[in-house]
Amino acid sequence: MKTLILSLLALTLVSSPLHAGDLYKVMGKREGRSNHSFMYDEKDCKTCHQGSPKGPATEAACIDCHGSYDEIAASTKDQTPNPHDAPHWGADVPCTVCHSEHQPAKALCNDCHQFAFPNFSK
Amino acid sequence: MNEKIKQSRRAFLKGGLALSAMGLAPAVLAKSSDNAAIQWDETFDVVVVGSGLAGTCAAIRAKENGANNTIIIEKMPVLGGTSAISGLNFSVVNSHLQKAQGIEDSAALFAEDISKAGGYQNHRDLTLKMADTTTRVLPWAIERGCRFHDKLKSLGGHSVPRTLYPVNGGGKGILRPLRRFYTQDLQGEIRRRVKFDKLHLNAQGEVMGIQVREQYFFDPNLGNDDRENTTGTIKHYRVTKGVVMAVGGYSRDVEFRAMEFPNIRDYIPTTTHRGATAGALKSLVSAGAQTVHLSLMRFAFDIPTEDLQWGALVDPKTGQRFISEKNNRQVVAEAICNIMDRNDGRFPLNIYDQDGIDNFHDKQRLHLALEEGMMVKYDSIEALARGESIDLAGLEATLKRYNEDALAGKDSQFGKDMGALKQVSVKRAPFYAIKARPKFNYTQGGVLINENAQVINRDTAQPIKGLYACGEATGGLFGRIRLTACSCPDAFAFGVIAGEQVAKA
Repeated sequence: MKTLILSLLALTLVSSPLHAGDLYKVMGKREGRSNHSFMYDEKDCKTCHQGSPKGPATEAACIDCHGSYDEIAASTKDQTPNPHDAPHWGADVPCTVCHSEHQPAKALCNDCHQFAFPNFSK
Repeated sequence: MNEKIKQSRRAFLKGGLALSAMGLAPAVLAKSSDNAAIQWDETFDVVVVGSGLAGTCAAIRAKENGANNTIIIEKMPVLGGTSAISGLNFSVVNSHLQKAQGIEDSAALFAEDISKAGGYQNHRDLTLKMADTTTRVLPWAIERGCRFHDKLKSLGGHSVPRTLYPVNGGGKGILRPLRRFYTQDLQGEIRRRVKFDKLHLNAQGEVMGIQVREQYFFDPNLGNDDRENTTGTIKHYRVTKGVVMAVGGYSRDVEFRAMEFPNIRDYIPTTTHRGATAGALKSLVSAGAQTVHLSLMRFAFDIPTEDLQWGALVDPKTGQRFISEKNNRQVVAEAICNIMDRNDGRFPLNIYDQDGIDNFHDKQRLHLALEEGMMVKYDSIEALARGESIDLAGLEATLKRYNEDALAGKDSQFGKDMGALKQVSVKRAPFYAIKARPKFNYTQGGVLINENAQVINRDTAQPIKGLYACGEATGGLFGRIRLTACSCPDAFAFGVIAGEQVAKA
């Protein structure tokens, strides 16, 4: 699955004016992230909303595709600061605290700090 | 619960003795009706509400003293509350570092320092108990993995150097090691996204258990999460020994703030954790808890208060100064709140020249402010005024007078001790500007406890059986202003005490 993500990511970057992870209209007024377009194309809600579609997505779904918290932290270890390994919490901040699929997102760090995080999809 | 809060708020807003008395009636009814209907989902020895420093200490100590079936519940998805993002400077009496350096200290002296700072409006028996307890808590914390630097900070208002500080900050140096100890060494359980709703009391007013919501998704975008958030599944946890409320302060609760602190508008920022709302406090009040000092607060700035003095603090609308920059943090912050009421909510600015910057005592926080873009550097005053939208003519006139005063060693406007500035003024380029943001970061008020961390009932003035509280959730230890580096010792000392006492119950 992770290889699939990377190749899809590459495709999205080449073929679309959107940046990976940008919000775009997916169904009616509903917005979603461009890197998840393959799921919207298939009207696949249950991959993320593993309970009721109206209930919140589970972080287990994020981890299924993107890797564990420790793996994610390792993948961004060269960033300063590493958004996935803050001294305050370590690699122990649930994905949806910062990342949001259907609405604008805000990094938890920036409640207090003003870090740039150029790759973060707001 | 929603209806009850609405009723008590209505009573509060309308005021008057008769209405207050009516406000009590539904709480009494709720007690007996709750009792008959409760179907307990689970039973624990102890439930600790809140996963910050106080709660983590309480849970560890409860388990160490035999209450093995103890859990921590946390409404947020992240653990640690404000403790995780605090520096957690730990003021301790008779630490190994004080002994090594031959520093004479005592609990009485520490308590006196706190009382003096707080205008002697504190409950001094509690303050003394906290000060005394720090001595035994420090080695206890180090044995459980906390790591401190081998140096003592000498901080304003403390008669002697007594403040330890953690390696890599509070989250990494204190809270995470303690949590690791709790979850791994003690096999302790922490449940995230479990929201405390209310206490279940029996007919005698004793705590039998709590109502929670599991799978609770806190929503920072709601005006009042405690009332408006409907997520989660209601469950009832029975406790055989007690509940420890380590629920923190309420500095993020803009609605509650507007009632308790009318002069602190919603644009006054807060850098405590997102969930620092008043919901748990309101539930404790509904259960009969006595509150103390609810309208006392403490501000912090992006740069240390001591370094405000090296520059001029101006209102961007007029370019004029409005206070001596060398006042204490509360006085400066209150003046800023006042000015912002008159300038459409624009933050005043601290303006420094290179000499002022060179004199900063805390270079680490200075560099953080520069790196993160909070402080901006300009080649000229004109560029600064343009970049920060300050009235240029007003600013130039202000700085002319300020620089003359600095040279003369006498502040002709606000009586700042210019002599102490060694003629540092605002004239040597480059210039620096930083918004003077008074961050509303601590609430001294909360529920009243006794020396055993038991919550006091407002009607009987006696402890509520089965109910304990510790840390920022409690009030009265500090009085008008909390001395610096004292919330950490509070959380440590009364967290430990609450855990020991509830285990005995």
